[in-house]
Amino acid sequence: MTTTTAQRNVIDCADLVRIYRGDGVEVQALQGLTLRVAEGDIVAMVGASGSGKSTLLGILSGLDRPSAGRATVAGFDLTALSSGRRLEYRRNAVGFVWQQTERNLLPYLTARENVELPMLFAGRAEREKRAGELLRLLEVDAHADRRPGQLSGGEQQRVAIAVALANGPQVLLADEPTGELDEAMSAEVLEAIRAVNEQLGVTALIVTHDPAVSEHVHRTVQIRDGRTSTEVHRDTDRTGAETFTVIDSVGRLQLPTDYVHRLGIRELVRLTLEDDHVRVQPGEARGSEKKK
Amino acid sequence: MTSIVSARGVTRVFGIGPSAVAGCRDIDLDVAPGELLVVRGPSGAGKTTLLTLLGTLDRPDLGTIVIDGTETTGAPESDLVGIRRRLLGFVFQRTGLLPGLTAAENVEVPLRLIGMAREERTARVAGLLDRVGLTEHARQHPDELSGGQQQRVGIARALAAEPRVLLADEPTGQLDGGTAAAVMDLVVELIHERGMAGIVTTHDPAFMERADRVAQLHDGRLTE
Repeated sequence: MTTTTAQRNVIDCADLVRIYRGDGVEVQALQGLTLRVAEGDIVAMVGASGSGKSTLLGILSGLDRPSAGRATVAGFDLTALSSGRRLEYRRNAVGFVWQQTERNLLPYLTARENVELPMLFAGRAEREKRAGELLRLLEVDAHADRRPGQLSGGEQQRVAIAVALANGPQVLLADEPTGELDEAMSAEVLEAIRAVNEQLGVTALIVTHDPAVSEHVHRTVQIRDGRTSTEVHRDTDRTGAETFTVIDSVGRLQLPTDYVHRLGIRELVRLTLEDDHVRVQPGEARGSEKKK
Repeated sequence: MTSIVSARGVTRVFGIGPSAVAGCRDIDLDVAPGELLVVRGPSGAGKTTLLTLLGTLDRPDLGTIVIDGTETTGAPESDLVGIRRRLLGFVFQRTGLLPGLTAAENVEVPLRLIGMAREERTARVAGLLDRVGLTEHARQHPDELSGGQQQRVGIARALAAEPRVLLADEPTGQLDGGTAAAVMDLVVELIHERGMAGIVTTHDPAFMERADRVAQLHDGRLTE
């Protein structure tokens, strides 16, 4: 699905920089990252460990602040959150699903009680009704009276999604939600996120190292060296897919690593502007020996 | 002294036939008020299974467990809910704090569940956070706290409804030396000060030194 300019970007991060300093060492974890997610979209963010995805997640969850750049989620400016605003952001604007199920659910409460708990703290009425609806949407209503220990890992994560959505957030942030699950259960959980995205219109961002996630979402954004590098867009029926490379506001782009290796590209390339495209060729300066 | 927790012949087997694994075999134990029983044993010895059974989160295949005079093994689920909420406090290795709630709200969870009035809840939570040294962190979320601070919140939550029994599964398992020792001290002090029966599983030798009794769990069997 492509994003039209008419749609509002619920997640709007531009030119994000995050520098960590300590012991005389400086690490630039984010190097001008840009990520925009339109309202109602479902996006996966894929990257290896050290790519900057945990840093981004820290910022999106309101825990960390960028050194420079813009980060707005659901109308909250994350670069300048007061502690009161942050509380409000985390309670009502975003819902979180974490990798370890024991971080999402209390083992001595039933599935239904776990879903009702965030509503209890938000002072919401009709908690039982809403919990029932969410559990039904996530197809775990038959297990509403069971405790997490009596559910499979996939069922526990589906209950965790219901917990995350209890207070009706605009955005669902899932951090490696399938990290501790086998392939079949992972697919089940990703389809559940897709279902709540489609039926409730909640904007979903799934952060993961698992490339298989891209089969379940419209857009997969690859993060590399602290920047978003490539994107795969999939049709709504998930048959065709197209790969794009991200170009930032000042015209920088990252070539996919396999392209660079295949053509033996090093240091310099030749750019040629054609009528409707730009040609990029391996090229070494000053007529040095050229490999074909 | 009469025990608050008492187990007789408790056996729990997972699976059937030759591949069946005994999580717990023929376990007898008694723990009195203010007494700390430390259960040690290698991973897979059945420590978590034992706590799950004592905590009424699972039922044994054989044997009986009595908590504060109520036999839990045959009791209907509706009775167990009350026992879990009023008599038992749980502390987990990976803290199990809810990420969407602040430290104070996490401590408040058990009080909400027993339907305590708001003013009383607020006072109780403030007292507990003060006792575990986290008053200044009341409005922070778990991921803004260190591992040791998170476990202190977990302990305060376990104590909120003033349970008679504290069940702690490797409470210092994820913490480093100094932090682990401080959390251990807190657990030991609270068990004695509040007269709870404490059952703690651990690998930590320092915990064993502070115990009133140490039992060894191996292949599902408990020996003292």
